[in-house]
Amino acid sequence: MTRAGPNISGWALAGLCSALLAACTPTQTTLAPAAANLTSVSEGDRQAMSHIHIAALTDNREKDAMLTDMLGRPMAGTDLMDWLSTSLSGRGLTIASTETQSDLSDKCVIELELRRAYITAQAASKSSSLVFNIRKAEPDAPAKLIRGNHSNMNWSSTNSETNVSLGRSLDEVVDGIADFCAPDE
Amino acid sequence: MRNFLAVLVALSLGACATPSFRHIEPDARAKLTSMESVLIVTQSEIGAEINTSKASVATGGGIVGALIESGINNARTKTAEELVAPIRDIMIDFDFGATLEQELEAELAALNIANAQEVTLLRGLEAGTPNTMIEQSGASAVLFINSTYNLSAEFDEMVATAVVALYPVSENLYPYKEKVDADNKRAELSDNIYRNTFRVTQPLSDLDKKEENAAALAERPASELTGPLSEAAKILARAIAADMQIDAAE
Repeated sequence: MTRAGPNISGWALAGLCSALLAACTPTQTTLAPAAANLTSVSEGDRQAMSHIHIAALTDNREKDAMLTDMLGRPMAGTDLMDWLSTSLSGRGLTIASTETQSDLSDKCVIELELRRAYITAQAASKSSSLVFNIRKAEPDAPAKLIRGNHSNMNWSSTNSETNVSLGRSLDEVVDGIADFCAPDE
Repeated sequence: MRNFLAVLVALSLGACATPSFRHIEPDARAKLTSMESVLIVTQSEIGAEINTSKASVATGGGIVGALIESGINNARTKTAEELVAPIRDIMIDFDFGATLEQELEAELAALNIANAQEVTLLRGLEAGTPNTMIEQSGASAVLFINSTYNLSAEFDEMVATAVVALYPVSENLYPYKEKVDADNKRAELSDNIYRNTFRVTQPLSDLDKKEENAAALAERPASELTGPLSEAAKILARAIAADMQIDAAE
């Protein structure tokens, strides 16, 4: 019989090990941009997004909002914008603040405004959400809300788990950006 | 009013079981000359409750039962998150924390305790923050109100909750703690001189399935979602202020 993942005892062992490791891990306080989950992004995926240029990436979250206080491991999220910038670049989008673009005529030039970013825990699961206002970088261009959400088992609230979860949410956001920039949009 | 009564009835029923609340003792109230009020709302958007599985109980416990239960709950969380997303989009400009803060500022004035109505809103809570706030407060006591707001598991009600506890700062209030001590951990639950929990619901939709309720809510204008939640905040604030005016029975 073929299995897509570990068997039950494998999951149990993985959970137990994660829990034990978590007990030895110092309280996490920040996101690490270097840990942004980019392993699943192929060169082809990056090329497919290279026609999109982010002219502005702004933070308009509620003042003092935390990223999470999940299970006693608070993350302030003060470095979230750095994480986003790194993660979006890693997915092939170009960003004005990090790259100089001389010719944008063949690009979909957008502005992104971060409205919400958070991770919550419920039962044994965690859910991460990233919500943006997106608009074309043109005068009086209408804004649209795009949302990325990812829910999965919360094994031990580790930093890597949190980064992977946020990375999956960002994947959904990037899909939303691609749809927004599609020719029929 | 109906929901306010539901809260009071729930509180009264609570008195029949293990005490789930503590009212302020009259002698303590006399020494409560000033109060700092802290509202904690860590949610950035409305949540969605789920009916948590009891599979581990049904299977006799053990790690296999726990894993099955976790898997079921995870699937239910995913479904709830998908259903609530368009409702969150509609409510994106509504600030529950600020709304409840305003309602509390209006209602806590009735306590006639200096500064009680000056509410500080915290949207995040670092470990140790309550202890530090108590240590640094110049008031007689610090009131913490930890509030959540969600759609019910069937997406038929708006649910707002608050866990409320009052911690002494002045040493002359220490004898009225639930468990008298004078250690440095000043925000342990047993350090309270008042505590209670509140749950307010507002009806939203009465269709048969949660998917139908969610779809109906996703078609509504923002005011038909934020209105009931604002009302829940008002009822919650009123209930907290009213409950804090009740003296503990001798």
